[in-house]
Amino acid sequence: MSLDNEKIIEEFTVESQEHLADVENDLLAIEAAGADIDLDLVNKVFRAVHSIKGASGFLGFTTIGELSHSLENILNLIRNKELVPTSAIVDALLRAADALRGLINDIHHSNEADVSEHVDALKKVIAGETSQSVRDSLEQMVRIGEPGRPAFEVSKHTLETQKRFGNHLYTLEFDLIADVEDKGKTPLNLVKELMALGEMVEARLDLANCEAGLDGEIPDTISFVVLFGTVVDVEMLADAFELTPERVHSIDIEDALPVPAEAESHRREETEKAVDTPVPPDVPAAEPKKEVSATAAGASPKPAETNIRVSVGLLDHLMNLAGELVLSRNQLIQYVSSGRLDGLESIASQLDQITSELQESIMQTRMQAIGTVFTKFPRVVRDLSGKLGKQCELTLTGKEVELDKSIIEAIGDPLTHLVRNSIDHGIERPDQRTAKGKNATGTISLKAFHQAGKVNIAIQDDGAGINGDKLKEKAVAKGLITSDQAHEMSERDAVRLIFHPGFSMAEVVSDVSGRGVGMDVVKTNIEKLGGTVDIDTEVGVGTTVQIKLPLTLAIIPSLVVRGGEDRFAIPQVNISELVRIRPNEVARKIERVKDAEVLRLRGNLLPLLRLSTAMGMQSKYLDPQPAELKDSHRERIVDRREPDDAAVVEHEKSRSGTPRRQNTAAGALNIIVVEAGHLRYGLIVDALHDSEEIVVKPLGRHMKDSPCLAGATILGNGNVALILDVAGIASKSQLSAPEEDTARGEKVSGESVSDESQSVLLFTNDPSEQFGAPMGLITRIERIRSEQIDSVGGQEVLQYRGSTLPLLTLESQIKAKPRPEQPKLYVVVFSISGREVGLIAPQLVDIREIPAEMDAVTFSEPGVLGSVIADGKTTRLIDLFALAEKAHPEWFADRQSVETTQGETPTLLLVEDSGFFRSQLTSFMESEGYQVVACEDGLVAWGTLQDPEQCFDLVVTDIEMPNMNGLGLARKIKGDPLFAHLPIVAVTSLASEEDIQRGFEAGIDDYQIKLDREKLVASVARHLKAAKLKAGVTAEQPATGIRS
Amino acid sequence: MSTAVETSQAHAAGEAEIATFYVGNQLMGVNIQQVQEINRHVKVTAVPHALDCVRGVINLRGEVVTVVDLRTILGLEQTEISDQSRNVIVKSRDEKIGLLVDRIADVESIRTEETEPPPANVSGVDGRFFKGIHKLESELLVILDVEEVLSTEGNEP
Repeated sequence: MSLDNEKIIEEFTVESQEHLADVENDLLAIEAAGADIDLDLVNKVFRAVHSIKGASGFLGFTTIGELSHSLENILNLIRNKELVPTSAIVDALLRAADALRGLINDIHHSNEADVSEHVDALKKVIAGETSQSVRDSLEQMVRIGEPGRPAFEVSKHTLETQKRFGNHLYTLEFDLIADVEDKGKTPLNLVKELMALGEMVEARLDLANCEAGLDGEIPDTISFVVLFGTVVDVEMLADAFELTPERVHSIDIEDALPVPAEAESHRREETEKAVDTPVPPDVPAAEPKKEVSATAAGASPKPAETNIRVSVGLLDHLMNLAGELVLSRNQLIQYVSSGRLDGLESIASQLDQITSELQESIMQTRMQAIGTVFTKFPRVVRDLSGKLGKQCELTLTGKEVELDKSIIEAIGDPLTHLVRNSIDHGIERPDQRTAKGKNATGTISLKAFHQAGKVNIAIQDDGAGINGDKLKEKAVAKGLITSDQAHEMSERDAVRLIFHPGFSMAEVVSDVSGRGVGMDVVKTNIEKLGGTVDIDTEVGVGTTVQIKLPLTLAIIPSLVVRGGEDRFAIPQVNISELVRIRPNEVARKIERVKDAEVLRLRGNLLPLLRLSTAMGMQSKYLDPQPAELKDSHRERIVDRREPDDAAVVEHEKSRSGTPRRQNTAAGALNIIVVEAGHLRYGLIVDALHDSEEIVVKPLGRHMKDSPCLAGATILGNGNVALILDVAGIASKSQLSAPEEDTARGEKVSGESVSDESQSVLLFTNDPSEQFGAPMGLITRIERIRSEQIDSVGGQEVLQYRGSTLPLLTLESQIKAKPRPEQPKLYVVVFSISGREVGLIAPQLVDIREIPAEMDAVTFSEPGVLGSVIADGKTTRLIDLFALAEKAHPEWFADRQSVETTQGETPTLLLVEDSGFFRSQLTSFMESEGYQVVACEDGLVAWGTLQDPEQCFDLVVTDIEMPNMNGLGLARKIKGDPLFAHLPIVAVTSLASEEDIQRGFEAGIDDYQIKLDREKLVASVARHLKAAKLKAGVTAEQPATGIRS
Repeated sequence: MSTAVETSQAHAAGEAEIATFYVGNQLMGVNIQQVQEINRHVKVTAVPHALDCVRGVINLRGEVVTVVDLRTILGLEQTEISDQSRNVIVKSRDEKIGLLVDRIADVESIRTEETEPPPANVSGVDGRFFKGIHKLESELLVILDVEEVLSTEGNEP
């Protein structure tokens, strides 16, 4: 067929796929609506199927035409309200739509496919669910057409439908050569135009004429006749399609309809025999074939996505950038040929900027919303839970989160597997759930969100959870681990056994998830994408699988290090911090536990690996020599919540690292604390180099099996560097997290009543006096030369990246001995009132967790919070805000006072178990003009809330508290209609993203760090204002609104 | 289909150009169609835990290319890098791979019908790596089967 060219078919395929993309969810929505039919939705699906039918007729895809026609029939009945969409009907529709998608994905073999099963199933739906008269009118065929004209056979029902819609019926005669091709259109355009105006009831292509065209001669005319139903009148129609009047024939529906009475009774007998007898009028009769169709749909080849939609704006931007790139190149060539070097720098920076922008924009074109993957899950959950006799509800959040196209494409299968697992193994059967006191309907939630430059996907169910002991038993029975190992294994590691190859979670291997693809495959696949997967479970409560994925695979920020003679790149996402241990500290900080080196880091044990050993190379490193005692110092480099700053400091670190090379040679250890899933360990490297954005290149097939490597990259000097796979190195070295490490964040000394501790940077001003500053407030730490400090008008400032950073010194603000003269010192940078301030900290000591309880009396003065004993030394904890306020009261002059528009002072309920923080926070808030009622735990607070005498405007609460913690309190408050309106601001020492997430789920409105006075005050003010606005909207009468 | 077979047969009966090189004292060659380029053996990045035959990876104009030691694959001792060492970059299954050879020699035009099937073993090297043997005026040219040489299965002891 001459029309049958690839381009048109491709267009058809792409369009049909688009049409079908939403059909599934629309059908599910139709099912959910039940008898309360949403006509718009049904029409949408109908039109989607209808377009496919229309176009397939053209292209000679008869099977697709047949199937879409059957689908269309049912949808037509639904929109005529002659059929109520039941679960069984939607089932049949879904399966047919699947089959249709399968046909379209494999378009060239579509005509050979057998769809009779689906067509029959759909016919049975009609037979079983519709009234006799409807069936009759469907069965009864009517011939339309005048003698000598092309004729159509359509069912009486079709005619009646057209009539009901108030459509006129026409036959339109097109000539595909003159009317379409000569006008530069494709047949698909024509179909689209037709669809826009009405419905193509039937269409016929004069194939006889086309075949003649095969002889090499292009036929003069190809006739294409359409039976068209539309509200448009004949002239307009002729106009719209530029058809001469004689090619548009109006058909009188009334005339065409057969005489009702006798014809109907006559047909009835026949149809009853034909339809009712052989087929049970019950739709579930279609069920037995379910398996076949399900597999058929599953096995159909995946459509390879070859097209991607890019906004024109973005494309224009790319074009502009390309233009700039060319200009810069020309400039560069000119400079190089002229031999001048003076302006080269500016060209280089220009090129640098254009390249980065170009890279970013190109990445954008590849970003797609994860919603495209998520949308298939409602169906998966529906089908599978139905099959297993379970009740599941699916919630999807974060559909708009964008990921690189390649990741989107690859993540579908692992996610499907996890969701299936949740239904199959997680969610219990309704009776079991009710017996346990749970809601009979289980909940599965799929959540995507950004976190620390990665995309997280959480698959959470409230099912049975996983029993770690059972897994252990099974693993021992299977010989995967020894019973000794099992004995030593932590609960967490035990649960992780399900990622072990050859481990199926189901006790009985079911056909749903136990088909040889286990969680290990999921893990491998996710890791291939540069992601990590971990599992969190509680028996009886549920399971959460957490996947972390990079935004893109192609370019990743990473740190370049040296191990042996070679350089390696470690993806920044795996790095949690850098630790440098001086030679004299090595002996004290590094311990040996059963042949393994561990680092004592802030009270926890961190397993260590030597990169060169792990890579099977000779370490180019001199032996550490334990020597005389000096001040210890360690830098905490990465504040995980602020990746940008982390990179900055790292850069600083690597820069400052270079001149200290001798130091390195003398045995200082550079340890990179890396994280992969819940595994955390220290990687000892021989040297640190720059942090670079690297372009990931795949490794050849000879190195595919190397577990330690994630790929390769080309460095600035042209050499190839290998990219390390942190998780792979750990598993190759058989490293597992020591127990102590998993309990990260535990306090060091448990003297205080409070269970909390505060992460504090310890430093000295004069070496004899130790100070501490809360880590949570510190933005970053800079190492500077003392000559970089300028004194301007009595104020010390740091010349820093083209601007100045005001510096504070301790001795000028509080009672402290002056700092000694030294060539290099550290500056602790924090931000206050929107500006950055540096505190000179000549010598850093360590980062420590110190108890929250401290002596607030002995060293009481503005700028000092209190004192604690750390490392056997009295340490004064600095109040950075008070310090700044003391030094620069003018910065705080314009601070807003508390809004007391209603003439009342807002009252805060402060809940905090630590006496120290309670008094700190009370004084913070009172100095801001609030009235504060303080309680020592959630239970007391709840009691106070009930007091009718008191009226609160906002709750500020700690999280970790005895009796009732902050989360419990938040849930109680938000669950009580009396108090649900109260904003809740939580204060913590240092919360992880997971904690914050949990808090939000409990109803907490905001999280702030306890000692970050400024942000806390701002947050309280903001939430009070928001609450007031909300209350105003609901409480005020419209009349008063107008008056005011 | 039928046309494709005919061309390959026609080709087989005609002339072929073979890029030749020495591995030890043995002259070997691959069809020049398969050769992308020939490079000096310069900076190679070693790959830990890789197969023994992998010498490392190089930067070939922005592409990371594996270099394999032809000697190791053929069961001889490891190649010692000298001034004469070269990487013959061949294209195999859409991937560029460098074959490290001792020394590069001429491009020989041979008549393919004169190629003889390989014996079971040539100078101690397994015959499965060879496509055939060609008698040049002065010495024997062993024509390598690149796919077999680069197969990642069964080449390791």
